[in-house]
Amino acid sequence: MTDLFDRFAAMLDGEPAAPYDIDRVVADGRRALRRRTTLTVVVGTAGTAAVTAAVAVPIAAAQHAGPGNRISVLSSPPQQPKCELYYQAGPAGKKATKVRLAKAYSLAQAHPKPGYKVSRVVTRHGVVEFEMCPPGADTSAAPKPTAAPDPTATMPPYSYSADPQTIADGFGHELSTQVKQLGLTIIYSRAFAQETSTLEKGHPTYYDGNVDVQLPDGPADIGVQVTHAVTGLVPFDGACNPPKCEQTKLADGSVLQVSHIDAGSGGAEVIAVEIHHPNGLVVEAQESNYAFGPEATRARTKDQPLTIDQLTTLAEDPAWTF
Amino acid sequence: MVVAMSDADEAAFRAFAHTRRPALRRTAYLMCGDWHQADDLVQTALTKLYVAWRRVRGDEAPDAYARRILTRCFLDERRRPWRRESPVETFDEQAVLVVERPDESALDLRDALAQLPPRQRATVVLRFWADASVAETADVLRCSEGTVKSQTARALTTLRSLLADPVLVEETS
Repeated sequence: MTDLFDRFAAMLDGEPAAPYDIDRVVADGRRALRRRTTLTVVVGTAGTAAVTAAVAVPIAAAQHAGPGNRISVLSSPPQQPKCELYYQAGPAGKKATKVRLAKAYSLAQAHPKPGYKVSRVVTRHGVVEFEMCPPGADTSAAPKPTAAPDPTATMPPYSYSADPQTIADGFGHELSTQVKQLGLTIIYSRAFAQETSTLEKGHPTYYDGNVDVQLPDGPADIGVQVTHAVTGLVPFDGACNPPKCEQTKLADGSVLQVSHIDAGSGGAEVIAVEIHHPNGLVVEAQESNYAFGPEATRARTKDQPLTIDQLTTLAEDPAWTF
Repeated sequence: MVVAMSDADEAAFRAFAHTRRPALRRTAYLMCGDWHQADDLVQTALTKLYVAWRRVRGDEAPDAYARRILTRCFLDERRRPWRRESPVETFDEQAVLVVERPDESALDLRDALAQLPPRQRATVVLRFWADASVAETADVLRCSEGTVKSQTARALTTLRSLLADPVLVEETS
């Protein structure tokens, strides 16, 4: 037993009575089971438990972001409709995944994508790739078959065919490079985490990492979060009230949001620049006037490590958007 | 063709849910700091457990699976843009259903926990409340054991800096 355990226990003093409703749990469970069973029957694979593992997770739009092919969210939107690439993790059938993709696209309310169809299905390295293209898309621009990811490859650029660890490592390299180019000294780096969001056993749909930097009067922090909002099911509806928060609609339909967040005692403040892309991708660059790493103290620096413009430039870095 | 749970399986699930729900609820509360949200998390986790019940019973301990689902539900909730957390000076008392006022040390810890990133909060709750090993915690959080240790260290460092009294823990793996 530990002191922390005792403190946790003390937090639970006065626990209110639970609205215990096992019948509701069972009813919800039965409905979920029926939905899954129905889908399984449709694709002719009833009785398997692998449907969950067959979830295809959109990990990116389908254009490689090489050094000569970088895009900016502030520029005009691409004229050519893009294809999107999905990976299937797990052993379930391709048909099941195609059904799920079609359903996901038809249900996407925030960013409907009418007319998208599966244009290509390829299995390589044990992973099934599904390419979804809108009418008029230039399929020649779609990803070409790739070799197994090379962990020693210089990064960036990234490609959607990269494995999660390669993407995470690339993000970490990019953040470190960008911060160093701004003349800041990094004193701690937290590797980018890879996490699934709403789907289990699929490709990570969320990455985040951060670095602590040394300012003249103490450590501060800079971080980036990248969320691949699955099939547009995550709408952009967060509250944003001036003067602490301001939104700007960009030329390509993205929404730029700058928030100033009071973060505790001693003048602690977090500044977050979020870019909500039309395809559902959300990139957030965040800074704080205090550190998160091993140097974390109650000390607050007088200034933030970056200006708003620098933080915005970091959020706009095309490396995060694949 | 309908694949439904047998009466025996459903009875076993109900027994499990009845027995383990209080512990899951407390774990959820320590992670999220809100009894209402804790109830929602447990409801969601148990529903998912119901769907996976037959497989879970055969493959692993339902308790570990339920704890894993619960933690991931918590992290998923915190990750959604409209639920994104930012550390705040004071905890929103209006959002907390409190029947009896906890003692002062609990209030301090609750405020401090609210300032931890969700994964660090989940890590310390799993390690020091649910008594999960480093390996078990790594499995729940889908990360390496090294990451669990570093997350734990960072969380404890932060808690020690925020709490008036030092936090004593026995580090075990």
